[in-house]
Amino acid sequence: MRKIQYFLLPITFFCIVFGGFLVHVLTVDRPQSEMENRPLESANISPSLKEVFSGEWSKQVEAYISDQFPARDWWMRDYVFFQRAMGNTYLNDKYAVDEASGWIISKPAPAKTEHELASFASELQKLSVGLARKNIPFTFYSFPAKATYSREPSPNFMPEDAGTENNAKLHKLLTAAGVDNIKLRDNMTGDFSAERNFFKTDHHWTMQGAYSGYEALLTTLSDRIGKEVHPIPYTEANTKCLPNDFAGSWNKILYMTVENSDQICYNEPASFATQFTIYDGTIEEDVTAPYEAVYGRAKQMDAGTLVNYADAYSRDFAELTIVNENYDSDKHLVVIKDSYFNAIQFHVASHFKTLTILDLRYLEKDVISYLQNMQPDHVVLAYNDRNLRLMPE
Amino acid sequence: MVFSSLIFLYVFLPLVLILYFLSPRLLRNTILLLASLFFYAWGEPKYVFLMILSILLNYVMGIIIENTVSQSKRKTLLWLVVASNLAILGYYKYAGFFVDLLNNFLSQPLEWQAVPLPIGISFYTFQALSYVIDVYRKDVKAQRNFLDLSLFITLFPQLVAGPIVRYQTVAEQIKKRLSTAEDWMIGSRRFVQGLAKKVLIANPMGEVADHVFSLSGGDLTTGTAWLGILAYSLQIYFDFSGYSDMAIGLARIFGFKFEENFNYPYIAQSVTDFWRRWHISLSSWFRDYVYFPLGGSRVSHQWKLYRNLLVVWTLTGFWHGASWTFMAWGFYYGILICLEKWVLLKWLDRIPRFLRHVYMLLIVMIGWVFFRANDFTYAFTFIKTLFGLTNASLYNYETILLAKDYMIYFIVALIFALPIYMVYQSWSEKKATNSISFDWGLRLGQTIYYGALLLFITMFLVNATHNPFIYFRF
Repeated sequence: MRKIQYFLLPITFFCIVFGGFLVHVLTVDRPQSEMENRPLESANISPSLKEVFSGEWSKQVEAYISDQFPARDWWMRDYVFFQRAMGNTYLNDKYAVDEASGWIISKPAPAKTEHELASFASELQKLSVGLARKNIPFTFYSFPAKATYSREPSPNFMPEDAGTENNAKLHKLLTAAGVDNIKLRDNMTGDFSAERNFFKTDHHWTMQGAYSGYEALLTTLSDRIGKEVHPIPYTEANTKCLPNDFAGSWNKILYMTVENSDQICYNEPASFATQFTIYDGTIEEDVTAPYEAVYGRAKQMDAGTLVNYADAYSRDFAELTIVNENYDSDKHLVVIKDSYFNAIQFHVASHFKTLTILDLRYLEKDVISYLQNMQPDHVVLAYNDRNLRLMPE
Repeated sequence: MVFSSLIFLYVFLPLVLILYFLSPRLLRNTILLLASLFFYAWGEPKYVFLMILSILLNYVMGIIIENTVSQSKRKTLLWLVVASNLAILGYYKYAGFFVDLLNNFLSQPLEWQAVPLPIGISFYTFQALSYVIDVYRKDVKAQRNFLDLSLFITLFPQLVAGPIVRYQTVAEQIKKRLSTAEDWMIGSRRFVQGLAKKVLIANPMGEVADHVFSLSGGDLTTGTAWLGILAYSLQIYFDFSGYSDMAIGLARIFGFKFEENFNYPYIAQSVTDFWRRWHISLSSWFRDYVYFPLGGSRVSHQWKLYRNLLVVWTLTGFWHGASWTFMAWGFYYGILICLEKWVLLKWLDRIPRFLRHVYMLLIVMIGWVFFRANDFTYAFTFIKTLFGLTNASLYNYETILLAKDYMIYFIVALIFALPIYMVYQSWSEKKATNSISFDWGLRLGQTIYYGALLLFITMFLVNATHNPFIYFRF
């Protein structure tokens, strides 16, 4: 005999799976995931026969269904909440969260192998030697990364992070290889607390931390360019903070589930807005960009908009050339950088006649010959100390 | 296609259900067959033709064998079709292994370009073999309808990872079956149960096992090794039995009744008992098509019984994969079952139940080390570390981290490895037959519970990357 109650479960089961299918079909696809910081898979509705028979198309469709699954961010965020409720030490196997303070701490990095460090040192040595052939001096700078210097609170049973050890070994290798190198942390003066220097929920440094880095960079660079250049003082008058909530990179990986008090601040003289001519690329390409479109775009955003590090300071350009009318040194400096440098790029630019900034993640050129042809007065490679490859991750 | 994927759950399954149940009965088998071929072709577009070839071979040979009167000719034809099936399986699964083996003895090594293993080839080959052997034995009539035989071999719930369904079990159901509301309820419930086993238990246990087995022998501690092998033991059980539950549940929705493939193997009291409860469809296949034809236990000399057991168990190991570790794993069970038959079972009967259980678990977990390890060196180092026979420390931060973060999954896994839920389900179903109000309460409760469980699983699936079933590679 058919019992009506027997229909309850199968109908519910069918409604869930078919409902999911319908919502998926009716929902407009998203091109980009803000939280995951990556483009989402789009539907390939006209695959080639080769794609179909190789199984490539089925993989694309599965990735598409997964990426465009209805309310994907909501499911992902709930999973982070679930992990927190379960008391997981590291959420998404990456970050520990201190609920009280809002600090996000990364999982300790293991010691790098000698081979890995030697490989990076060798790449830097090649760069240094290549530039020396054209009499271009080169200096490698390691900037203090949050993951290396902000380790508290960390579970007491976990081992120490090997970041400082890796960094020290790398500098030793570079010195032995004859590569000029500076560990910026050793030259940064004053308070070096994590609270002051780093964001709680992002992997970058704060304006104060970046400013200390800028001061140390200039001090050490003065000796190398043969001219004393003095950093712009950090003053209250030049300080401005935004009311916007901050979308820290690590918090985004945790789907913005961590409450925090991070705030975007600037310390820049008013003259920055007018003293530079900025080229998106080389001067010869002649594509200029206004200062406010390159640095501090968040200042023009609505106070309710969530702001990330790139909006706050600068996005990564493959090549940016900054020509300065009010310089201390008439030298042409090239900085090969990662995103740590973005916060202080105009501070550094304000001392030199020309500053070229290269980001090797986006610059598809042979860097040594490109720099040899450019003939700058000095080349600096400035990476945070977690980056141990010439092509940053 | 994997059951535990968003595309299966939220695209393939709802579309197939709609097409199937809205179609006239006459077309339902055709729809199931097309859906099954699509299901298989999704991940292996090229190999679907190989499967069709295998079906065609067994279809034709089944009819020829049935129509052949002479017993010797029938036997010759059977050997021919068995050899053909095994040749296909051998080419894709074992050729590389044998070429490597041969190259050890040759001065001029043979060239061999490795071919990818077609998913589920071991399962559908064994199903096809059971069909032709049963036709030869006159246990079943040869299937004249090519579509029906194709459906038997390709039916998507069991196609890629079993259970190995016998033709006798489903021959009548292919022709005529009734799919009632009770079948839909039992089927959907069983499917969600299996999905939960896979996604909520096997996958987290797999994370622990993968991490531990990726450590070099020198990085292992005794505590980490125990966590790793416990996690793997639970992973493989929940992964495979979860798949079987999903297969049985899906088949039930379409009106097919498959036989059980697992019966709480970790509560067994001996190795012999364990294998009566683990991958039952494979054990019974080897029993019926290898062990009995070799003479089984009805032999003139005791040594022949042990020989038969060792042959069957070594083949069982080899069925899982072309490597010495799988063969050793099978042989290991062969030896243990021989020992149990000889004397151990009598001894075991005299010791407390708890100790029998510990004995079985230790044996099985050590066996899983061979099953999981890539080579003997690692397997032996792992086993020595388990028993403190290396210089490894008792534990380190990884032991604490894994134990702390996965404690809840270990507890849930251990609870569901015991037949507690089955006892509750039997009790509640029995009570529901005697009380309408209890029946309503039970169905409402189950609907809420399994509906919520399905959504909870979805949360895991959205966050998952690739999560294939372990038995897909066999």
